[in-house]
Amino acid sequence: MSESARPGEKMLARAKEKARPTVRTFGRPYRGKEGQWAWLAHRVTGVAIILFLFAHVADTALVGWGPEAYNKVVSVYHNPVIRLLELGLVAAVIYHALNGTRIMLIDFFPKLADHQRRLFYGEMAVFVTAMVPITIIIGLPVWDAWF
Amino acid sequence: MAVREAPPAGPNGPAEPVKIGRDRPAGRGAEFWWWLFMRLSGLVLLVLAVGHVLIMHVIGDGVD
Repeated sequence: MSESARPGEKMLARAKEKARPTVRTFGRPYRGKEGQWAWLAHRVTGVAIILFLFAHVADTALVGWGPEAYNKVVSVYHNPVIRLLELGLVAAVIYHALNGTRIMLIDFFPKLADHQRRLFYGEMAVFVTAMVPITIIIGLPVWDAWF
Repeated sequence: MAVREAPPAGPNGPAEPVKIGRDRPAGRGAEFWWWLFMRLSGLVLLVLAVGHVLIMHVIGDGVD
């Protein structure tokens, strides 16, 4: 550190330092790949779910105004468009649950970080498998209403 | 947290280990217990939410 470097030598050393593979080159397996989209989707579904939760607390609280008021408001959920939104809600909850489980697994068993991509695709497989029958069950009344 | 073994050394020397997500807080301080609480409560919420949907809408034609 003490030897006075020739002009440019310091910059050269710094450039060499930068060229060394660091966390930039190896350390972020999530960046731009599956993990990043999983991360984004986790937050988006989280916000969607908490917004529904507010509405859900409100509609449930309507029981306090008697059965008619409650039934009237809850009948909104039979609207086909709302049913499609409900399908989205179920998808969001299932994704959030599965992805949260994947994150917890990696948190509690760090060695699973080696398999984070495989875990993600396994999660997607479970998600799709769950969503197929759910889409049919929730979607059938919508289909009947529109087609 | 999650630290993976370092990938094979490149031409310019060994690379740093791969890290994913949040580090588990060291020790057994408040930070650690909150870390644990966030994960365990998530697990509890999962069971409660899925159970709620099953009871209300699936098992025995659901509650009306």
